[in-house]
Amino acid sequence: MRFTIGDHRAARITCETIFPHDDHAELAGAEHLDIENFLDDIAAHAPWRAVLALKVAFLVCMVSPLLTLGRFATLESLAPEYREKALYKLLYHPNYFLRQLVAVIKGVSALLYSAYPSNRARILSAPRPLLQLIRSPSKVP
Amino acid sequence: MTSPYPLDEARLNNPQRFADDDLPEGSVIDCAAAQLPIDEAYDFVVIGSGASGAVAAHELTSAGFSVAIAEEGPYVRTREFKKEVGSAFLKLFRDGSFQALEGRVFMPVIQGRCVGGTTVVNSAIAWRTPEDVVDEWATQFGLGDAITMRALEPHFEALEHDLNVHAVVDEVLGGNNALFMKQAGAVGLYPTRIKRYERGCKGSSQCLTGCPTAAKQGMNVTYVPWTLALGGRLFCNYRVERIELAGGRAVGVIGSAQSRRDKGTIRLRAKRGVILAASTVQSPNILRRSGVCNRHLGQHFQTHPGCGMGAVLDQDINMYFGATQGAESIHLRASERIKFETISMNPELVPVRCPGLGVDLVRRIGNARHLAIWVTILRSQAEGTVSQGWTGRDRVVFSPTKRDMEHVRAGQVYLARMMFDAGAREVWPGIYGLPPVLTSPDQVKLVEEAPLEPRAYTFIASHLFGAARMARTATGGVVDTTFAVHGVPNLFVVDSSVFPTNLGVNPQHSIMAMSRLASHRIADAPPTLA
Repeated sequence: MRFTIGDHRAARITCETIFPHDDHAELAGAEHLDIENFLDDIAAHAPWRAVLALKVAFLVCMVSPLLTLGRFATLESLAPEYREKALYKLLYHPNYFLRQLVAVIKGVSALLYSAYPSNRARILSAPRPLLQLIRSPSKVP
Repeated sequence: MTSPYPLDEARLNNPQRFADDDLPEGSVIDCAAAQLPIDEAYDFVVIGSGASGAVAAHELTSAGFSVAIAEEGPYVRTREFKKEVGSAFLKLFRDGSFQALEGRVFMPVIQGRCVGGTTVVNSAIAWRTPEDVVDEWATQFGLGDAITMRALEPHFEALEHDLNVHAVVDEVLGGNNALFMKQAGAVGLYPTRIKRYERGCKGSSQCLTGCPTAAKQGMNVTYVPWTLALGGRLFCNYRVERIELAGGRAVGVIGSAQSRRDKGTIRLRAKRGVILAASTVQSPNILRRSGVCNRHLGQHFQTHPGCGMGAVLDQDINMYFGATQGAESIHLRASERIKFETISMNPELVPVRCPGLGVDLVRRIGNARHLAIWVTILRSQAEGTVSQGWTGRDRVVFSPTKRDMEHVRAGQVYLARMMFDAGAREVWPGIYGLPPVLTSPDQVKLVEEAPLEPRAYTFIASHLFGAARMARTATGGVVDTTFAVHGVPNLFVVDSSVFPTNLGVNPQHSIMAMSRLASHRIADAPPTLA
């Protein structure tokens, strides 16, 4: 089973929402990653069931505004801050399978994100003062 | 019996060479590229090259038998190991690391699928089988004097000598392990440094993606090359479909090559016996496909689910240097059925533990040098099943019980408390229903009251047991105390699927010792001619 152009597009939008560029962290965003080739590599090695699960996960993420914000729109059609809000709510959704799908995408795309040479070097580099976060950490979504 | 290990001596004398660099010519047959069909005869055919298969092959070869090892995965040499987790997952792990237990909760399973099996991708932790477990097998499962500490003792000693078992040394302890030692000691958990199979660990923290210096004494750089040096042969990329039975006896194995379209048959005939060491998930299904019937086949599957917790501290922890797993505590093993371990994750795995997404996730990844990760390992009481799915895939169904979840929660409370005691700014419980990030020691009470629903937790299963358990009679289990399948002469199972229960400690040492014990019994037994 292979990924289609539509899957590639959904994967890119989802990954860019999960791993955006951030100057403070000095980590390259997902827009620099070769997501398409990475997915094709997975399709060549992983069983078809895993590929199918990823396809479903990308589809669910694309329609997450409907599931989480009650908006009849795709993830792609939203502004970046709303994309993050929609996926965040899906990641902590009461439905176990929905939140697992986002967790799987997060885990798979992390393999590519942290392996990106400049990101890997930054993660392994000498320690720096702790970066400040944007959201109140204890806030339940 | 200890062989001269010429290859290992060569490596020790020349650190630029690895044990898998200089294998005897013609000893490795890559079935993905070999001329097919193949039909060869040996005294023994061993299915699987992991902890149990490699040890069995080595012992039988040392005893003078001709041995062929059949391994489903490729032989990835030490020089081919890469730092990137993604490529390692796809190349070294079963189902490209997408394998998971089914049941109430989605639980990924860590299983190697390459020469050396899971020993290539684990942390090489050595624990002798606890005495209370062996006693339980003797009294509750009727094994009596068949499997005793006294019988296992010489095998543990030989393995510890061969694989250089010792506790993690100061030079490669690393910040994550050192912090656990300090905090666990402070709350009276009596932590210890983990004993590992290791020669000259450089602290690269890459145990999970294949040791780049061959310091980890996995089967790929020890018993497999040693077996080949003694005349054994290895067929890799070879999937065994079934064991051939003739007149009710095992006489060989039949399978096909992986990764090629022409599915030419590969047949390995076994004059003395077939040794099944394909793991708890695969062995029961190979037996099933071979026509073995037993009501216990595929039943009584057990595991050790692991549940992690992360913390951000002010100081530099730097998990990326040091033993991947270097500190542990078994103080609550008997009372709470839990064991604590550290785990240092590769950069690629850190985001999985980090809560949230978007800019905050990225900034937490940026803080990863300050991150510590510790794990609760559960000796679960629940039993699952191993079966074959409708597409022929291996299917494992397992769900923790409510009592299991109470133990896991108790473990997570300990970890959260220890992390805040260490001065953590943030603790990530990873439990649904709780805030993703705890920032105050007062919030540990939220973990104490966390839901007992398994779906609220994130588990990983890495130690697998049962599904073809040992018993004196066929009404009680699948194999007898000589490791032979009940009613099928010349067919032996030597992996952890024969264990009547799980252990509560890391199983590789027990698996190897049981396999070594089995091999000696098989070698000493008079031949049963087919």
